Amino acid sequence: MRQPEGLLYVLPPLALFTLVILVPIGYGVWISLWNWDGVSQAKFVGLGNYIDALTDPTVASAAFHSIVLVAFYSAIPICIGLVLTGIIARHPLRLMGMWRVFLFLPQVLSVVVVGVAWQWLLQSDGPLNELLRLIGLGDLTRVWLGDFTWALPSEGAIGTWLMSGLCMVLFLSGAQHIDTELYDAAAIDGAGAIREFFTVTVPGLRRVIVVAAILTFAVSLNNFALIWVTTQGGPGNQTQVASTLIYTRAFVLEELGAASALAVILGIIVLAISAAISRLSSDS
Amino acid sequence: MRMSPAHAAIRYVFLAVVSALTIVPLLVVGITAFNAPGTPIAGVEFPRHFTLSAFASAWNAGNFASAFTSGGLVTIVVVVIVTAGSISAGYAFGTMRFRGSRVLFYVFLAGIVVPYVVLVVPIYLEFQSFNLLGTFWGLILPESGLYLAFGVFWMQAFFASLPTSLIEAARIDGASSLRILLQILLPLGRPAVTTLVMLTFLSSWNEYLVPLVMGGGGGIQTVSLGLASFQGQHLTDVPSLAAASIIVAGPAVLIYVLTQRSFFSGLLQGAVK
Repeated sequence: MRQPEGLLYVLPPLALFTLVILVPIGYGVWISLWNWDGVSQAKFVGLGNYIDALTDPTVASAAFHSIVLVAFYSAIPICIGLVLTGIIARHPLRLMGMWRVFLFLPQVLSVVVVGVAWQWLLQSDGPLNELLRLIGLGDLTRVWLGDFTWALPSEGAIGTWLMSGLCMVLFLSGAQHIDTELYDAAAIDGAGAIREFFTVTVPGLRRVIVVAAILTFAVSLNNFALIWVTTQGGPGNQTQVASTLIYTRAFVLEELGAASALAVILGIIVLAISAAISRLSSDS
Repeated sequence: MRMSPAHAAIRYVFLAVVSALTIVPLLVVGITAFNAPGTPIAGVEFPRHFTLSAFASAWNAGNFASAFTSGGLVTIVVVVIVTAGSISAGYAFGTMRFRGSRVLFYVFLAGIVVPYVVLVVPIYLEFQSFNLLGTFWGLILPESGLYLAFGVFWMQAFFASLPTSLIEAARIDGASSLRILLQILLPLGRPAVTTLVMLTFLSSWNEYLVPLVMGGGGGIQTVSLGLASFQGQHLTDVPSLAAASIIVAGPAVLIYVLTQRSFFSGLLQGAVK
């Protein structure tokens, strides 16, 4: 049965969505065809900004840095969460509420708070370096976020810290829905812990894993605040990622057309990858 | 299946280690806030002279009174708009079929994953032409629109999970669709709505990019923005930075701890289902 009144319920939110998402998408594509600083006369350049973007080494390195961060924000936390869930989850757990409150806590904090905290934790006389000196590894100390080699992995490690608890909370509660008879059947078949993990736990969590993958992937590309507060893309361009590059091009260098072209490219990539991930969940 | 005592113990050791890795870095930062402002801190140090003076000086120097007022106002209005809009559209998408319903729902869905930075340049220019930069609506409308995508998806999943017989029966009794929503379905949706309110509250209270771009150069201060500029001015004053961070994180953590039971029951029902 059709219910045309459904449209009435959708219209007010759709109006806001149009104002803030749909019109800006169209507007962004339009701006990306121009050379414009926001003030003086704009010059039409067609696909010029896109050609510039695809041949710009800074863009290539930002893309590479973003991919590295996806691994730290998404792949590593999902693996950590799965392994720990495999060890922990097949029997009921005491104090589940308490563990959950701890593990989820980083999600509640402003990313600016997280950035301020880690910037000090990783500073030259910060707790991490003091700890290294204490255990005799003084040679390893450095200003982690200011180091050309270590700045990006350090940003990544903050992301792993940020997202691992979230993955664990999701997987632990997903594991409660796995039929315990499956574990018993695996045991009767003589499956060891590792085979049990791959044949029962991981398949049983498939849908939750997809949710975690989309969530963490989205956060890894939406991480402007953390990078901006801690390194602003530096040292050099070592922690320049897609989000900071777009912001810098648009609001520091005032190259609105070039920034918009980058934004359009990023948007297309993100939509394509998210669609691919969610297709994984509906297939097989 | 029985579990050996060793295995049982190891599970809790693992959980405790991961929880500690999550919490301890925050505690290490947190305890420095109880030193006098400007005290040099090296590594992990318990305050030798316990004092709250860093909180008082951070509160004043960071102008957090005004950030709390304006940031709080923005957050409250955003939560109201997003919750109402998500319930309304989620109800339609979850229980009704109408012209364009599938296409429109996918349009909303796509909005979930698009990074805000993709939209922020054209939103900035659009709102500049409306003369709304540096105003409350210049923050409220973009934030609401950006969070709405997830909210609609979230409420749609809840309404779609309800048994259709419930709605059919009410319809046969002649109840209007609005009455079905308000009197029958919403009371069942308390956990889903609570979780949505919490997530929206956290997103808006903690938002950084939108106020940074739309605030019109400090016209409207929010708490995350306030903390970032406070950090810029007090880079080496660790106690004051820690105190300011606790001030900003405080309301979010407090509400989280108080509502965690219903928050998680809604969140995990939605995510794990």
